[in-house]
Amino acid sequence: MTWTAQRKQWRGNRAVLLVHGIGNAAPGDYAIIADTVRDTIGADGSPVAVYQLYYDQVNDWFTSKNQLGALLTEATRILATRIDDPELGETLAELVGDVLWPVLLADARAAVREAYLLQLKRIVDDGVSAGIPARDQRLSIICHSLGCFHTYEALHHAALFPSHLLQPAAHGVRFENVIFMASPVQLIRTIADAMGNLVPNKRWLYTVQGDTLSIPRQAKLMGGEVLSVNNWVSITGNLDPVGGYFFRRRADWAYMKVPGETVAIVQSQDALDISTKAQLVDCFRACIREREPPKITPKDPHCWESYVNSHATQLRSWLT
Amino acid sequence: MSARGVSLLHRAIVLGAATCTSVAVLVAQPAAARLDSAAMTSATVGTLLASASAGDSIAQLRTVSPALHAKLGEMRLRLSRAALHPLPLQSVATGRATFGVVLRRSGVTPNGVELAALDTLARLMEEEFSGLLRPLIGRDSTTQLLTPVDAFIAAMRRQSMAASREKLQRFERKYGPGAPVRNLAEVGLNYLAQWAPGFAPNAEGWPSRAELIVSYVPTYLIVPSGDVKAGAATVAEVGARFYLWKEGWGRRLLRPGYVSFGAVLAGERDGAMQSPFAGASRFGGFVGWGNAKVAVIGGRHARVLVTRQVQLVPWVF
Repeated sequence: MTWTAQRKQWRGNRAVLLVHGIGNAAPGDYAIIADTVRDTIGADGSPVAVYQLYYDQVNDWFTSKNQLGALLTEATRILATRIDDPELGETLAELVGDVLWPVLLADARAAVREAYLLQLKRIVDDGVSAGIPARDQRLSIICHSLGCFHTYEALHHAALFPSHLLQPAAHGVRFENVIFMASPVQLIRTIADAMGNLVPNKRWLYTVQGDTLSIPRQAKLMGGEVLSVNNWVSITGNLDPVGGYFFRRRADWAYMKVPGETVAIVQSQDALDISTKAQLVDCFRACIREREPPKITPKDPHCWESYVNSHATQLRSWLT
Repeated sequence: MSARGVSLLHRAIVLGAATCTSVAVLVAQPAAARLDSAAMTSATVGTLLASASAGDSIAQLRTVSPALHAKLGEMRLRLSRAALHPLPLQSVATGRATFGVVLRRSGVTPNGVELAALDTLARLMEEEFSGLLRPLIGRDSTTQLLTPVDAFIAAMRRQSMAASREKLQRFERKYGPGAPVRNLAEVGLNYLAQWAPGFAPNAEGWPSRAELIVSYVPTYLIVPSGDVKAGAATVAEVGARFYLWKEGWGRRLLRPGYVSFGAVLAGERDGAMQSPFAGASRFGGFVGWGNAKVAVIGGRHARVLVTRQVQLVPWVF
């Protein structure tokens, strides 16, 4: 069945797109996140259209991803070397390795990016159909884990290619907020760099472009430039390896730091009651499954729901 | 809106009306907080030009921003052919996506220079007018004035959505349910092929049609002819598969989703599950029309073979 973008009727001028992370999410999953976001930011009475991007159907076309064995092993080996911790290395590399496979398949990357861009175009068009010009639409994205990588790639592509009519200057599509939760973008950049020529179609892998990560932007015809995102927020936890923290120690090679970002929050995850490296390893080992994405539960430092709940107040202030 | 803004807008309307009557329609409507869908639908090249003139006058660009004033003037000049002005912007956007088919029906087709000028004019207005006009005439009147720009961009965005859907359908045809399943060797070979021209998706994200084949096929059947009896045959195939993107193709025998061709290698003996390298090798070629494949092996023991594209053992053959 062909992938279709979600369509919503706007009752106000705000829309939020939720982009999930590693996992096999199907339409209907993460409904609790959508409800939480709707309740949190709609508390002022102003309606918000909440969209969810379910891209795993597209991922599933690329069954050959499961046969990237040797390459993924190499990526995981590089990752374990980088983590450089005999207690954590192997298990965390296995967990985090699941975010690396899109880097190795150019077609898979392009297909998910296209689905993402189609969803963005649908959102803007829904807004225009409701009478809100793109320049007046209040658009936000909340993404988690691998969804942060796809967000980074899609936003950069949208800002660069006029064919999608999503450019910040020429087409007036600017995101009020993009909130990255436990972003592996810097980690992917480091590992992709280390893999060198093993990464295909690198020219169009925005995560590895430039001297640093960057906020997408477009130059105006008459001079000056316009950023795609007004409020670029990064949130991670101090026990979350996907977000660049290896047992309360920040790894600069894995932690996403983008020049110009507005807010960067590192959440203390002491409440999870994980006080030793062995406990952290046990926690993640329990969620790793053979040939399937890890099953993240609310007890895991990487849980999306926990991130959203912990930052409900800030979400309200940014998105309302 | 301030008194000065009202006065400026009025002046601009008068100016615009002198060049295009549609601007009178544009500004005769009461200021609306939202886009007017009727105005969006009826927006024409002439309306866009009138809005550009009105914005230029209201913002007094001749003195405030001479460079922008000059650039707008240049674009308006390139779009001065009167026959273009009644063209609906939605038709222009659709016409571009359909290589002018829609526009040819209307008898007027903008040329490349005019289309580029239209793009640039809309872009200049989107990039500059909002910031310049809102302080002068307010948000609602600015929205009204920029309605033709919104109509043009929205129409092109809908074309772009259709293009995205087409890209996804192509990816699905190549990789989704019903697509030929690659074996391990093909996974490796096609991974390497991503560095070769024509095998990776292009800059705009369109998938490549091509895919390499290297396969052990123990499922061919020999077509009986003369002394040759029916039976099984095993070959090794090396070739390429090309996906057909044409609409309506991909689901039927007569309109398959792909074609394939290449070389085959067979061993000395016929039969299922034979080694294609055993004994004196026999060479030939194969062509595939969707799942159906025909191969011919030459030499002293020539054979015509038929089979159906199928993978018996996942990831192996």
